[in-house]
Amino acid sequence: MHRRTVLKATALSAAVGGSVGMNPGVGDNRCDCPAPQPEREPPAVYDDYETITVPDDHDTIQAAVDAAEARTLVLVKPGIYTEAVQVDTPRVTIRGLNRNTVILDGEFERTIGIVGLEDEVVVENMTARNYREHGFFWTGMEGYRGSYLTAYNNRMYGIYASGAVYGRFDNCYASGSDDAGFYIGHAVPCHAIMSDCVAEYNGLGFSGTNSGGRFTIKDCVFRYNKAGILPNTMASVEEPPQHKMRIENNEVYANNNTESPSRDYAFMAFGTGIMVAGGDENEILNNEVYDHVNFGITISLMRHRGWWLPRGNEIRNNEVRESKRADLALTMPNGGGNEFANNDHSSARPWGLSRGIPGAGLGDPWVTTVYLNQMAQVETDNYPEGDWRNAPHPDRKQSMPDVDAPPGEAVSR
Amino acid sequence: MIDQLQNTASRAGTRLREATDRILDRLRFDHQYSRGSWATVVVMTFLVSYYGAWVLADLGFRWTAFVALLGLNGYVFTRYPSSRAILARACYHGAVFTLLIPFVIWVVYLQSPSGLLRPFSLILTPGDVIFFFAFALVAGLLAGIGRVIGRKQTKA
Repeated sequence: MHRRTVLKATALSAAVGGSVGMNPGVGDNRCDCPAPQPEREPPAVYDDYETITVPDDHDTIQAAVDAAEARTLVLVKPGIYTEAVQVDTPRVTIRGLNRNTVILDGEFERTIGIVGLEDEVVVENMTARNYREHGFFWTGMEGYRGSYLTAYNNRMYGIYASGAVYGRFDNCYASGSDDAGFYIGHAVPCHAIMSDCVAEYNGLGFSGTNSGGRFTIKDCVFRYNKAGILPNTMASVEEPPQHKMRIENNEVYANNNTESPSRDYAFMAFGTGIMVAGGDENEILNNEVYDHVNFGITISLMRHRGWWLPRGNEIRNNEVRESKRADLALTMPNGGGNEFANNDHSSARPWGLSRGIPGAGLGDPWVTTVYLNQMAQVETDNYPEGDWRNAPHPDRKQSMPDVDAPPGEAVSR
Repeated sequence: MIDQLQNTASRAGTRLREATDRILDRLRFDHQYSRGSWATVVVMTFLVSYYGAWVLADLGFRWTAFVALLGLNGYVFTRYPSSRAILARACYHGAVFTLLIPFVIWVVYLQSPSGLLRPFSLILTPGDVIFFFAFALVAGLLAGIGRVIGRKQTKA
């Protein structure tokens, strides 16, 4: 995404006062759908399917996938598989028999553990580590799911979906990625759920550029990253601005990790639990957010080929505490209509933000100043970051409860 | 003996009355202030104090700082005889608070909330130097404006 270029453009434009308009292109790509999910039935299972076992039937996962037709379950026995798998057959499920001992290893040479390129590719119950880009990746499809996956020490993203709709990540773990542990982006309407996942020791716990519309992140834990959850707007990818994501019932804490791997982009949000960067109409509800050196929840402007001013975001019923600067924060300038209400907190920038004080909706330039300080460190290439190859290894994670279950569709529509 | 005590008490009472009168004069702005100067003191005291409290809010005592600064700024500003002199002084105070902004931002990092945060990796970087000089420049401009206003006052 050429983020260094983006940042330089940002700093330069800020320095000269900016020459482009506010929220360019807004209105062109708006999703009419709401942020939350509709009630859905469980996804349908396949009545008849084939099973291919690795390494009994094929030595490698790639060979098994190449041999698979639609509605095939690829069962992988415990072992370390030093390969990069590309799935270009639809309706294939790849399932490890044990999450902790079925391991794809990139050995710091290969780029992606598994990449799904066709509809309804499901990956379950395994680990991917040491890839130069991503652990698990889905792109350009309709229907994807990652369940009971562990991704650690993969350089860019641990578990990643881009330009893909109707998806789900559940019971997954991601650590040691310098951009984000989890990423779901470039999709409107997104029709995606991320639930019961843990992200730690990453640049960002979650990042999602220009994603939204029936998109929910819930019941997850984000800790020990540079920053926790960061939906954001960029003009370089389709469908700006980011809008209509629901973030609810998550535990977000201690995202102040100077030792975690990081890209410049991630460091700019350092010390923040949840930040909406230039996004609109997001719903941040019932989260527990604590122990952040900057701000607990921030609604922030974003500069990328124009100023993206956040507007119409709803921040409600969150418990936010132990933030060193302020529990709740709103940058000045912003696009207006950002509603903070019924949040249990002790401090805010501006003062009175969640207490209905007139004028508080204008925001506080102090919040912008703090992030400008971090931007200055990024611009001079001098900010703390760890090595993604040496990030802490996770302990054993809970495996999928029923590895004998029949495969099925990724998610129901 | 009784006379001596009465004299001492009388002198003390006189001094106390004089001091009280001086303070009341100051509080009533009776000493030399026009209505315009009085308004300048009130407005500048409020603005500079609010600005100072805004700068110091990250340290956790926004309103305590505001009240303390109201007293401090008000006391200092009332020592100056005219609106121009008060404005000049307000600019100097504003410059000091502007210069404090980077330090307040950095001090918060030193209040480490977890074992994973190494505060000194976040401060004193080359970017921080640029950041500091940006604020020093703004503070210098503010002080310069104060100086120009003050000089005009002197010439007048």
